[in-house]
Amino acid sequence: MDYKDYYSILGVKKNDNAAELKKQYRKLARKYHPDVNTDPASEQKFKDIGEAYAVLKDPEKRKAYDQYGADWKAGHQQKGQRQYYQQAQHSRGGKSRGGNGAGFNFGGDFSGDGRDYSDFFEAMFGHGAGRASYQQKGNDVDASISIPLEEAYTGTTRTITFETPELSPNGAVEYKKKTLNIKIPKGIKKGGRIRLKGQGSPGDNGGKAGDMCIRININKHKLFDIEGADVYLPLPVAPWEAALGGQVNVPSPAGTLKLNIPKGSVSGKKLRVKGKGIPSKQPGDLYVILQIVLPPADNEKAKKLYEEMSKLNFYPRHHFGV
Amino acid sequence: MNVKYNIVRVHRGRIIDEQERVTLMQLSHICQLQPERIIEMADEGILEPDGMRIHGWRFPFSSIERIRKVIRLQHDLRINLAGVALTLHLLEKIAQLEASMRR
Repeated sequence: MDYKDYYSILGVKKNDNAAELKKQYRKLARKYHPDVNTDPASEQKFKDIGEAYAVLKDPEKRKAYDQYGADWKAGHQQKGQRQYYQQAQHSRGGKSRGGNGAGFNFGGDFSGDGRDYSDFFEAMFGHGAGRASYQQKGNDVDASISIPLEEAYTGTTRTITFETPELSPNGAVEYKKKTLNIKIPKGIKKGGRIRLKGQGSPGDNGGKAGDMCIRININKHKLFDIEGADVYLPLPVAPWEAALGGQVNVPSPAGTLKLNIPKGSVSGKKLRVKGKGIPSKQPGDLYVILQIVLPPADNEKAKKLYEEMSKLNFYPRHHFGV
Repeated sequence: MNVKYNIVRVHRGRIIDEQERVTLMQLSHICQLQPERIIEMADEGILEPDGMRIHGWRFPFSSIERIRKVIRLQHDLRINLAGVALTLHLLEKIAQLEASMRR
């Protein structure tokens, strides 16, 4: 378990007041909110900020953190003190659950298994202490799954686990852990969804259960960009390949393809390989975008060839008139 | 909290057709949100259902994701609906620009 320096996470000083903390929290929340910031690292950052603020804005928790937080750092667990603090939390009943406005509880998308706070937080303030009051109903399962692009071409299987509250015969709410093995058919597009019949919320008064929708994200690929069912590949080509034309081997998520480059191609030329995008109901296309790469003139032979080319009557700045 | 494990067989997912549409009440049920809040979002131009009258409204499936995003932004960053509409518009613009830059 890592010690968390909540002050440095929020970028505040130890003696900063509540107004300063709030200002800083708001600023960072705007910056790192996962809906606003597409950097995958922003999600964890946003959670850390929320956790730090949840502790520091509460005078009681802040005091406990200032007093005992350092001991965690040093490796002493201060068990007695910790339990004392947790009991104090419990004796106040559900109060500590409600008042949390730090707000980083997402329905499914970001929170995953629903544990938003770090182990450090849990150890210090107990499980569930200060959890945000806004929570999606557990049985409204809204999961998302990420798969690599290649598996969008072939189809794949994933397992998801979630907790769903159910009423037990004696009227208490029980949390049931449910695991679903899901077959994702081939041809899922970027941002596509799949439906699982009868796996959604149970119907009211014996009604039919709803369906469950799962959003499928396709991971960022190091070669390909995805737009709907279309796949884009920037392809580096040598000047003579573009000028003279020829056949080149091109990677695609479905394997290597042979592609004819028409002679006289220019940089930025888009070549469409029909039907080689994601094989959805209306199959996408693969777009290959030519990027002409010049060989460096770092040896005698290359220099000679460039000098030879300079004899061509080629002047790229004609239209400047200078 | 009583945790029980319940392993279920493999479920075959069906890809949701982009042409599929949901009604206001279905959307309200899926998102656990009062229909009034969804109507407000449509009035603000955040959601664009097909159909003239509210009872005939049909929303694309992508509305589910959009509504969740709206709720998160409202809740987490304390933005009002007009602010969310502007935020979404600007975010889309940025995404478009980034996509065209990569090409």
